[in-house]
Amino acid sequence: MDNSLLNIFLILVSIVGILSGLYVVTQTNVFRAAISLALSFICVSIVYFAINAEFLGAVQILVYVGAVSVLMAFSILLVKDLQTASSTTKGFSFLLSIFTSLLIFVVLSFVILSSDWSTEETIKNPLVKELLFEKYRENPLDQTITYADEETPIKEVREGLFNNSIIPLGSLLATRYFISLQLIGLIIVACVVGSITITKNTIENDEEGDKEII
Amino acid sequence: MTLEIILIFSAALLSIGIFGLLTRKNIVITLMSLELIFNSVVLAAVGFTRYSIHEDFILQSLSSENIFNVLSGNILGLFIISVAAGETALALALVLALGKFKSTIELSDLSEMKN
Repeated sequence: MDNSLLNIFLILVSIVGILSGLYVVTQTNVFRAAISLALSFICVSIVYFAINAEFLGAVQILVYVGAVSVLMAFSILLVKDLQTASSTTKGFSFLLSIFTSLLIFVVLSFVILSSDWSTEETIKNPLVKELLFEKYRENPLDQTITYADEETPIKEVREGLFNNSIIPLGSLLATRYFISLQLIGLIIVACVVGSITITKNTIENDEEGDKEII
Repeated sequence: MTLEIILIFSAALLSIGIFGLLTRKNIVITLMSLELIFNSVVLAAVGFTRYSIHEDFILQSLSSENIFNVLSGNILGLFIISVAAGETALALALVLALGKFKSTIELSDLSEMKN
């Protein structure tokens, strides 16, 4: 895709994402806020798809849009008097919050725009460009990678590191980050067991309370 | 220019999240602001992975396993998303319990631990 076209597309998606994010923090209807949050997540995942991080975009849609937003919508529906939240704080603290968040945004934007990032255009070596965006050769013995030339057997040629990032990500997760992956799984199991325990105790206590009333 | 656009989107999401954390008292909206902040962090990490590439690093780590580290931002993002999802599940269970026992989920009403 042409780079300026990509930039215009990203600007439009970012505007939608920022507006829906603002709607989340200013809305008094919590259910509408949850739907708007899902829209904001979708915009972020579109950005992932546009910048060659397809795996993370898919994870974002599955986990955030599919699970977190729906979980929030369900918990809003389950709790009484939750549909309408109190609005934002008023007076001096509100002004101070606006000032703080605007200050953070302005300082970060200033730093971002005034810094000289070594971006994609500064890659001079055509072989490195080819390795990242077109094709590379994977050695079947030790999974190390080098440049692909015309004599490379076809089954050792892979698409560029960024063009098809799922294979390198899988190999990273299975080797270098294997322990971290297992630990993340352990954390999620602990979270799920904890939340089931809390909700179960809530329901049991609620049933006992009903019996006492009867 | 693409990296700048992504980073400014990320900075805007971060400041919106901080604004929500500072001004709202509803627990669920506070959680949503927290999710926005997590998203902004992951967005910045992925943007740097894709657009801030050092040619020297790639040339040095050819024929070694280190070259896959040009994708380590995606791994960081994956881990952040997983932990944030678990944390949200736990926090929403707490919200359900609070709604049952105290019939309020305003943060300013939950002050038993104060003093």
